Amino acid sequence: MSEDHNHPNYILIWVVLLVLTVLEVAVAFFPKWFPGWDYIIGITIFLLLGMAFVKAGLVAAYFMHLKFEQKNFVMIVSFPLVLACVLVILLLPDVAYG
Amino acid sequence: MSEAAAATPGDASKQVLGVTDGKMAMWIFLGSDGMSFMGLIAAYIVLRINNLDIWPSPGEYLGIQLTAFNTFVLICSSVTMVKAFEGALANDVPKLKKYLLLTILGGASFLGMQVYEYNHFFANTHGVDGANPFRLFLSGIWEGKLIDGEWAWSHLKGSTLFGSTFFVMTAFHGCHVFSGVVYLLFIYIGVCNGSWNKNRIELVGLYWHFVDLVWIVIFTIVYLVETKVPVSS
Repeated sequence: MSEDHNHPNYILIWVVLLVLTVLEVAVAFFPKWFPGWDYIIGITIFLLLGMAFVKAGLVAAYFMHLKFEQKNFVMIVSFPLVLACVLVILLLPDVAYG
Repeated sequence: MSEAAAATPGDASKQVLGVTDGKMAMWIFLGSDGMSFMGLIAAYIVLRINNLDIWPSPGEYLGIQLTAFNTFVLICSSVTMVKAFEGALANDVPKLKKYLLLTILGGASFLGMQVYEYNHFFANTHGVDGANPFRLFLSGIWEGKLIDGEWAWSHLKGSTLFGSTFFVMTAFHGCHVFSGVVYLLFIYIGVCNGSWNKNRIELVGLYWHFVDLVWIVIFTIVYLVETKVPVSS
């Protein structure tokens, strides 16, 4: 089957998602493997969230076909995501003075 | 005029921004649903950061291997869903039916494993000194006394945060998976009866991928992220 842009290689995306999941589970054990390292918690969280965002992005872009929609439509449907991030940032004072 | 009168919901001839009305509506729903999930996630982040000292290591209480396998199942069911949509685009009904059924099976297995996981938490299987540590983090330790024929409960110690945030987030997601399986079943019955169109298959696919996407985020922050500084020995 030819791979025109409406039919991305789903199996490839699937493999990438699975590899990222395995990597995530491995990274989650970093604090146990390198207990002496001061910044290990921060590095682990950063890596885990980074991989989760990549996975979520892949699902949205390819499985939900967002990559192949019109730009205006993509901007409309991704706006709630921006609002959601604002929600978390606005709650940060609660963290600082909680 | 006759064209407008003939237009049914999801009719591909009536499109704004290159998408059908149904797709636009589904995306609006997913946007608002995503924000309710984000509200829970934001609350979780704030509660967890404010209680780092009492927050246990998730790996000690949650079965990460089982849930990683569950994540694998959900991702696979997402792939079978896009395969089903591929079949729908090609008017290939046997392929569509096969992959829809696989997707339903994937969702049902996910739910089954979640029930198994919950059940396991409530059973006294990994307790220390007969007490189930997970119960402690679900509701703290409660002591019951029989006074005048009625049980009176008093809260002894323990945090309720770990358990309550865990159950609220995973169960809210589980309800979405359950609705998704029911939704898929209705679509499957429709396909068997011959009353289906590509747009309907695409909409159920969008919902299903969204549930998968949310699980990826929840799995990461609830199960994997570790905030307890390990003690080097």
